Amino acid sequence: MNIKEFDRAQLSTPMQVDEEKTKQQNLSRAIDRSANERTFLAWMRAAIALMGFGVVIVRLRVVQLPVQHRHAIGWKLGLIFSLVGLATVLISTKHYFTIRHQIDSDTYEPPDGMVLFFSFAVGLLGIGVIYAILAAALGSVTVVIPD
Amino acid sequence: MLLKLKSTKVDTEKTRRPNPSRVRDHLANERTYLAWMRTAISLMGFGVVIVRLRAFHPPLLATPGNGWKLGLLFSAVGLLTVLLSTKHYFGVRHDIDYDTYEPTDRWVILFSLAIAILGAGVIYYIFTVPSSLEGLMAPE
Repeated sequence: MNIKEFDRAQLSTPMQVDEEKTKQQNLSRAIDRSANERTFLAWMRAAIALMGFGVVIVRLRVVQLPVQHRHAIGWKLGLIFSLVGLATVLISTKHYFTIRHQIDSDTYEPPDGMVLFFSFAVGLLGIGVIYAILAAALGSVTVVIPD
Repeated sequence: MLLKLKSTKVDTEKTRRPNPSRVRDHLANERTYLAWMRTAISLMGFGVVIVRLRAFHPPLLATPGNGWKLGLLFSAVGLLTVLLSTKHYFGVRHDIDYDTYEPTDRWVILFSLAIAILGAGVIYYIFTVPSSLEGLMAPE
């Protein structure tokens, strides 16, 4: 509510003020709730992206290297991608209900632990990917000899 | 009297809820962060996919091609995106709380540049794949 609106509200009767205030608060709550839901869906999309790539990585591994390389790091990487995705689903669902409660009780605080945790997990994943690529590339120079 | 009452009321309103759209702004910031993270995940995923596709033909080629370098570049850009977007999220969070948010073009331009370079790398890679192997490049 800006100053001008507030002036107008002051001039009208107290009951009208209250009514207008609750109306505005309800509207603001509704917008906040749908923003919360969109945020939840964004978390879900991130989780789906992680799990999807987990599957793709594992599936591609089957075709790739010759038989002696079958124990390669690929399936582990795929599994970790999927597990991080699954953990994201669980944590973000819990997070959604926490934020919903916080919006209703007007005690919203932006998250930091969860964001840091997610960045940490995806960052580790990135390091794992880089390691796997280097291992596969440099390993195949020496190991894979055309038969 | 009325004036005084008004000013104190405005003040309490202000301290209780500094900015009526604060919650929305923070949630939007979180979504932006997640969009960056999704992009980073896609980049890393494609990095792996490119390398795996390349690994399809080593029995025919004695030395690995350039595919793994491209995959490594994708993954490195993805990892960098994770770090920068986390930093950006906390920066914007601070700006929202102190009402000093300014949109920045820097990251967008930097990221476009990085992706454009990766795209150029992909095009280069496509045209340098030996023609005898083209039939084998199918993902499955």
